[in-house]
Parts: sequence; structure tokens; C-alpha cells
Amino acid sequence: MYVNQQKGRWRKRLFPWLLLAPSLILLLFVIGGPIIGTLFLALTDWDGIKTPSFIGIDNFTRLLQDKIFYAALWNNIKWMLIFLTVPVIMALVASMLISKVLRGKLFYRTVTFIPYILSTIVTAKLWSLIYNPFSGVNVKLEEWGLGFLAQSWLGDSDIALFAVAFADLWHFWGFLVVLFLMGIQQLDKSIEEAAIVEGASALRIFWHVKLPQLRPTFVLIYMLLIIWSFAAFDYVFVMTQGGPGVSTELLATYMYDLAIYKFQPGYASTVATSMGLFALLVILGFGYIRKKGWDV
Amino acid sequence: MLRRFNWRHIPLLMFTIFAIAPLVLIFSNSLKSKEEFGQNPLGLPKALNFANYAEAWTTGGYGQAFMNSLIVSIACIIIICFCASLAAYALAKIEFKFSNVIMAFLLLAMSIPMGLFLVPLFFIFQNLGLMDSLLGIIIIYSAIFLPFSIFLLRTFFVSIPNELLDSARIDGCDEFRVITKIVFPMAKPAFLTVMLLVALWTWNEFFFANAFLQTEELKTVATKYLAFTGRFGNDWRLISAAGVITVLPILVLFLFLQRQFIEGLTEGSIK
Repeated sequence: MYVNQQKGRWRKRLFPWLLLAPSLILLLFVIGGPIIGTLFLALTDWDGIKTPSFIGIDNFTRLLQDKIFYAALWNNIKWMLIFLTVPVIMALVASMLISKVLRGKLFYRTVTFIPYILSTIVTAKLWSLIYNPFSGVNVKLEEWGLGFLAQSWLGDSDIALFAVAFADLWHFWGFLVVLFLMGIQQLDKSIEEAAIVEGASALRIFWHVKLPQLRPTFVLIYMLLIIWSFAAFDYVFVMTQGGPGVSTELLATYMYDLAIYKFQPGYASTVATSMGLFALLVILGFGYIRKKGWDV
Repeated sequence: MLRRFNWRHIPLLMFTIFAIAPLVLIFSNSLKSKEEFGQNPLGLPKALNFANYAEAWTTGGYGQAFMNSLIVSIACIIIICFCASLAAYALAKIEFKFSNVIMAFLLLAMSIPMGLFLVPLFFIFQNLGLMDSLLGIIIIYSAIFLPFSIFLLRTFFVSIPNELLDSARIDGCDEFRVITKIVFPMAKPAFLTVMLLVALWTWNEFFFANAFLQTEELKTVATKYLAFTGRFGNDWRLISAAGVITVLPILVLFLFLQRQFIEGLTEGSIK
């Protein structure tokens, strides 16, 4: 009897781990193990062929003096600032409007979401065509007599990053619309009604009643946007490859280039480690905010 | 009727045009001939001419690419549904030590940049002969889309009342049968969502596919398209046709099952 009970208890204890085993094995093999590998390789001079030799923090000293790294980091920060403002405002406006129409709610939600499900390579190429100086939007601008607005969108190092970010933004903002719509659905209607009875203007209701209640949605969106901004890769990779010069280089494209095309996996791992560090800081930061109960 | 027109439709229609116009452009360019594109790169085509599609399909080798993407998608769906459902049940319905550590690990695995595990993976796979093989890419995709799928299924499992599972246990079901006979059948809609999202991700992914699949015959649809645009440089009518071919299956799937797509993608990221 006692032995059976013991056995039963062990079985009960092991059962969840048995269920988790396939997932954990897969995740440790593809993600967990290699991350540790990256942290190790970051301290070596590995070129992908010879045995890696340990060079301490030399790669990190190199990183701190690497002009391309700083350029890429700064571009990531600009990218983040663009994404924290433009698509958020667009999506907030669109979702507020959608929540106030009776007909076509579903239609608008679907239409703004469509770009998000399309392959990023295809949409990136599509925007390369739109930015093409000879067959793109410039042609239409000339036609409309707005030739002075025509730009070498991807060729001018002052605007290339914004042009690429705009393409990504077009692809992405519908996702934010849906998140905001879900937040708006959960708003407390009675407060709004009370404010209307008190004679508050629509703008004041938006600012003092709706926005504060959307705080959890904002916290979630900002967390996703900051994490994704530091991992941004697709659009730059397809549209500009980091150019002209390093004007659109991002940490992820720089790292990819070093690892896959420049045969410097050791140093690429150092760049990757710095990216992981930023991501970790963001996650811990938001974890702290959550703990403080700020988003409830 | 006119008086009741809601002014909000005007800005919303502008947003609609913003979202749709580039898609209209790629579709209309895919129908133009070379000369027509040269004269009129941004306007609508004069006639519906699907010749570009046939040319892009055969010269691009899209038949093979579709097959590869289909194999990868289906294999990933099977692996992910199997692993994620078991893990999600453990995290939703069993109290055990370190379950919060596992949740934290999953969250971290989901949000860490993919570059952080690219390099060692590249060389591990080279040594294991998983480089340049569909099996290799299936393993990678199954792992990277697993955490999100676990969270999604877990959210659904949590909502299944414990009383229901307990009454099944009293009726003599062992734990395994509770899972397969009660929980899984109830979670059918959640499984459908996971299947759709995995299909979407595997179809569009190219960060890993581009690095790990080099043989032309093994390329998935997304990487095939990248190679195609490299080969045809500025022939925008072919590039447009190939682009439409690439996105069409997902677009059709989305238009039929948009609720599952939208709710799955957003709910998984909230919880």
C-alpha cells in the first residue's frame, strides 16, 4: 500500500514534465543551447572554419569602437521612435473611428489587417517598386505637378531609413488597429455616458476618459514595438541591404551580414549578444512595471 | 438617408485606400505586358492578360516551391500541435514546481531576437547534416513557433472548467484519456487557429530559410521569390506576378477564416 502510494506520487510529479518533454527538448536544441553557444562564441575570434580560440572581451572592445555598430544602433533607435509614434497614432485614430461606425466595422478591420498577413518579401519588393525613381510614385507626383516632392527615396541617405520604415509600417499598423479595437471594446461605457451628460466635449472624453482606460493596451503595444524594433530585419534586408553606405544598417542586418556573408561568426555573436541584452533589458523593464501593477 | 451619413467613413475610406492601393498596384502590374508597363507603370492594365503568371510559375519553378512550402507547413503543424498541446495542458491544468520558470522561459524564447541563436545553429546543423534540408528547416520552425502556440492553447485550456475534468476522472478516465477524449476535442477551434497561424508563419518566413536552404530545388515559396527577384532584376511585371502567386494562398485562406487569424494573432500576444 505504502509503496504504491509512493509510486503514485512520483508518477504524479513526473507527469507534467513528461508532457513538457517534447517541447523542452525541441526548444533547448534550437533556441536554449544555441543562445549559450552565442554567448560563448562572442568571446572568440572564430571564422567558422578553424577551432575558435578564446580572446576574452576583445570582441566587445572592438564593438565599442565599431562605427557601423553605433550607426546601426542609432538607426534601431530611430526605427523605434518612428514605430512608437506614427503607426500608434494612426491605429488609435482608425480604431476610434471604427468603433463609432455602425456599418462596415468588420470590413475596415479586415482591410487594414490584410497587409499584415502578406509575405514581407513580397510587400518589401512591392514598396521597392513604389519607391523606384523611374516607375514608382515619382511618376505620379510629376503628373500631378508635385514634382518637387519627388525623391530618390531609397538612394538618399537622409530619407532611406524613413522610406523603409514606412513600408514596414504599412505592413504592420493593421495589427495595432486590432489590438486597440479589443481595448476599446473593454472600455467602461458608463463613465463615457456620465461625461456626456455632464456636457464634456468629444475631445475631452477621448483624452480624460478613454485614453487612461486604454493604458494596458498601450503598455502591451509599447512592449511589442520596442522588442520588435530592435529585432527589425526584413524590410532593410530586401529593400536596401543597409545602404546607401550604412544609412539603413540595423543591428540584425549587420549581424546577419557578418555571420552569413562575411565569415565572422565570432564577432557576429558579439553583435547578437548586444541585441539580446537590449531585449532582456526591455523585458525586465516591463516585468518591473507589471509587478508595480502599473498596467492594471 | 444623406443626413444620417456618418462623417467617419471619409477618413476610414482614406485608410482603406492606403491599405489597398499597393495591392491593387501589384495586381495590375502583374497583368501588363513589358511595353505597357514601360508606358504606364502605375495605371490600371488595358486588358486582363494572365500570361505573366504562366511565365513566372514555370521559369520560377514555383511548382516545386509550393510543394516544399506545403511539406514544411504540414510537418510543422503536426509537430507543433503535438508538442504544444501536451505542454499547454501541463501549464494550464497541473500545479507543479517551476511551472512559472517554464512560462518565463517560453516568454523569453518568444521575444529574444532570432539572431541570438542563428550562428551556433548554423554550425550545429552543418555538423548534423541538417543544413540545406527540409528536415532542418522543419525543426527550426517547429521550435520558434512553439512558444506562441503553447500560450495560445494554454489560454484556451484554462477556460475549460476543472469540474468537467474531475467528473471524467471519477467516471474512471485516467489522466491520458482525460486529455485526449475531453480536452482536445473541446479545443478544436484553438487547434484550428494554431494550424492557420503556423501555416501563415511557415509560408512567409525567410530569415532562416534564406540562411539554411541554398539548393534551388529545396527553396520555400518566400525564398524562391527572393531568388526570383534577384534573377529578373527590373522586370516588374514578372516580379509582380510572382508576388501575387506567393501571397495568394495565404490571402484566400485569410479571407475565408479571418476571424480565427485575427483573434489568434492578437490573443496570443496579449496573454
